Amino acid sequence: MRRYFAKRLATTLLMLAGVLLLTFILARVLPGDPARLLAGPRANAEQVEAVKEAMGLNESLPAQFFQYVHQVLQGDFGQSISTRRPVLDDIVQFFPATLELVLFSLLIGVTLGFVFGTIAAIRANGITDATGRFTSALGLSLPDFWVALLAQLLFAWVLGWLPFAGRLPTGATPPPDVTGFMIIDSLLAGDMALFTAALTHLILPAVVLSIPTAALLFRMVRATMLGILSKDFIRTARAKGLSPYRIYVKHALRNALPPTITLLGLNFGFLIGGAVFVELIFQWPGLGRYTAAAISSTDYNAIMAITLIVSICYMLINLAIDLAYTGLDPRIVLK
Amino acid sequence: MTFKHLPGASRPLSRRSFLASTATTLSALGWSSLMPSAAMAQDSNGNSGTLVIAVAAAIEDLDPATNLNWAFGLFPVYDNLTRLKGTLVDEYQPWLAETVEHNADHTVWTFKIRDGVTFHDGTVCDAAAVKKSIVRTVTHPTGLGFNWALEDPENAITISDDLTLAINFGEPRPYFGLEAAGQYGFGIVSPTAAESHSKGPDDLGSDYLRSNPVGTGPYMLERLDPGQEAVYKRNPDFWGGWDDGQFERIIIKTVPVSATRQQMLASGEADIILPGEPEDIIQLGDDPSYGKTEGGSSEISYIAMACDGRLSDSRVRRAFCHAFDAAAYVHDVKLDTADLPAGVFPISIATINPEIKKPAFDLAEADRLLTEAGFDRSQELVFEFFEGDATLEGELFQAWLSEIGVTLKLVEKSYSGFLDDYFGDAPAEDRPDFFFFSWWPNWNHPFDYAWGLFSGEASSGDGNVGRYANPEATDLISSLYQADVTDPQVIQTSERLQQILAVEDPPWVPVSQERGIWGHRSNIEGIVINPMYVLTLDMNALRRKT
Repeated sequence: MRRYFAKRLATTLLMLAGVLLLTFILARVLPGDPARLLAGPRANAEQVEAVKEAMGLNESLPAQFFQYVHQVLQGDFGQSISTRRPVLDDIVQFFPATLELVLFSLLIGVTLGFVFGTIAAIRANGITDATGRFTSALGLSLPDFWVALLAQLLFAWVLGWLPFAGRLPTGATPPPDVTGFMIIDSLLAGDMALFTAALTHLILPAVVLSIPTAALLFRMVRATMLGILSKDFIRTARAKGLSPYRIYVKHALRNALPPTITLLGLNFGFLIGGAVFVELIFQWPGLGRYTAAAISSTDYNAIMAITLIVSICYMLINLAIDLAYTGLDPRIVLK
Repeated sequence: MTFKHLPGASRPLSRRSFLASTATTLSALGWSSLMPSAAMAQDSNGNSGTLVIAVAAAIEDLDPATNLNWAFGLFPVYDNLTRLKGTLVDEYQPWLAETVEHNADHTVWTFKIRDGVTFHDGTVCDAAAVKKSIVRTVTHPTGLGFNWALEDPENAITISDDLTLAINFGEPRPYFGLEAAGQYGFGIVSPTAAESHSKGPDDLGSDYLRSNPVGTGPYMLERLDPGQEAVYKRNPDFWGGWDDGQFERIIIKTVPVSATRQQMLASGEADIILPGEPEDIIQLGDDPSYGKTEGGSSEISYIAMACDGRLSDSRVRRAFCHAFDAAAYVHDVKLDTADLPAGVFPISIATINPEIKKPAFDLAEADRLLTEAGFDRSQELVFEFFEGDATLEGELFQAWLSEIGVTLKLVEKSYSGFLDDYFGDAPAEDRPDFFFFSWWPNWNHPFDYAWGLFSGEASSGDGNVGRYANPEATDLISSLYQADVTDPQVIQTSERLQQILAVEDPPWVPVSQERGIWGHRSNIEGIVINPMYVLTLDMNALRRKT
């Protein structure tokens, strides 16, 4: 196991170095002069030149890269062009918001996907299955921005049940930052009104974001379960007179988990960097919205930092999935 | 337990289903009890002295020495030495300075700072502090020193007593009172805050001040959630004092979608909005509970022409001016929420003669001029704009030009990519022929507006994107430097310049003269729109009617 971790660590570091180099090069070939963007369109040529000098953009590319790596190793990702703050400060602020949203949406998506996927497989070709398949096809095919706008219109504007956007009501003072998760921090602060407000703000974007996950998991769980339910060991379990719970959950579902977990892991990684539309529409101050702003303003310091962070997330998630395999299936051994 | 005879029930309701339904119903009831909390913001807006303003862009860079983009977030926090009077663009009033005087030739300006003013960090704002603030701005390596045009500020500024300082510019600056009231680079910042947080001569405290502004203004920043909202609270020690109608807190929310801002205003979630689309502006008159306040603006939207490329012949550029129907555009596209531009200058600029207009829409004349100039119509021209900005304007221009046999290709770029081309130094053959953009001056003087945009001495990096280099226009612009705008000779010079730029040798196709428009709830008063303070509000003047 130790050897396995050492090997994974070495691979991870190599990949991170590759990501650093690649993002650095990509950021430099993107159209747009960062100095002009930072100085603003109303700055004159002299001021833009001064900003360029201050940003070190007059140095050679290799010199800029080594300087960048040196800074990154010290935890300094430079200044953001979009927010004019240190990129690290931005990420520390925005990343927990995305993580909270993604985890909450995964909770909803996983619950719906597993529960209804399992039921659909058990009652294959019944009305539950047919409804589930139709709904999941719909959930996968509808663009998230459209669903988000519709949900906002219906639940926020027409019915008025939920707030339309943001993480907290306008002007509400956030709880002291402990975890960065608004619902947890408000609970830790013992502020139930704030907790309720944070939760109500979280529901709509999380539900919208959970739809593709739930639909994908539904189809995956259903298909895998159908395959497993026709296996000999399930027939044996039935013959032995085991309860339906033991057959479906302990035997069938557990065997369906490894491929589903892989999918879940990939989906989690995707959501970390890809919840852009939902964050934009619901004005969720997360990494997705920050990424969109960074890309449109060629905020290359932010783009490089986000890419690095998302890459690290993917690597950690993959590692966690590999470790989970060993727990779920004793036949799998990490070498 | 089963309920076999429930109307409409096709199947018996099992105990499990009953429990599930009950749980769902109870959850829904429990949920509805949470609703007052979800609507908390609306209640607090209406009753707690909090003003909510929804705008499109984010509040960022709250250091007045470096912010050259959008001064909206700076206005509540910082005071200038002077400020423009109400809606007037050519009159200033002493502001942080109690008195403003100058010598006979306007080379030395003397300011007496108000007594007893303190910065938000509690330090005293006296002549020494103001001097330090000015020196910081002027010497900031990435700052707005060029707006001051002050050599050696350390020696040029002298302090005669605790509250009095004099600035010797070494040249006549008759309009410095107006310049000092400008949005960019003239806010007075706490030197203590800047010095104590400075990371060195390249920073001078900017990293800190960008998110932690320290001025003397009526409001102090309470919280800044980048890209989300900025929350300001009253400065209890504000030198101007307070009255009951003013707001305790001001929350500026960033809401990029125009329709959402509109909805927020309609629902009462926002008190004031910056409306975006013309359709939204028109709708502001539909409901008695909210409306709009309109005023002038010094912002002009235009199509800049590359004068060093295929459009170098002035007849060709005149032809393109004839080929854009600005009147139809303002009426049918902008729905009369903007005005017809008089020429390349904003109508509010001193010395501007509104009778000197761009050539009228006349495709036959455009056709004739292109033929006369021997313009090769087989070549495809390129019209560039940044994403979401001018698709419709480009399509209109494209359609009009197609009627005279000119093909126009529309190129939409990211904002950064657009700025790269717009201000870039690529050779003419690698640049677009047309750029869509808008501009406004820093202060009310034709030189301030014209030099960077139209002088042959200015580069594309300065704003002269078309690399326009009409020698006569360049000389006229130079002669306007600090010129007395009431002098008939200067007015004549300015009018000659307008004639060249609008009619004889145009660098731009002026598209529209923008207006300052704010949507607001009917119980909000005190919205003062000064054309020079583009997209900015004096929040200290705002009140909620009781």
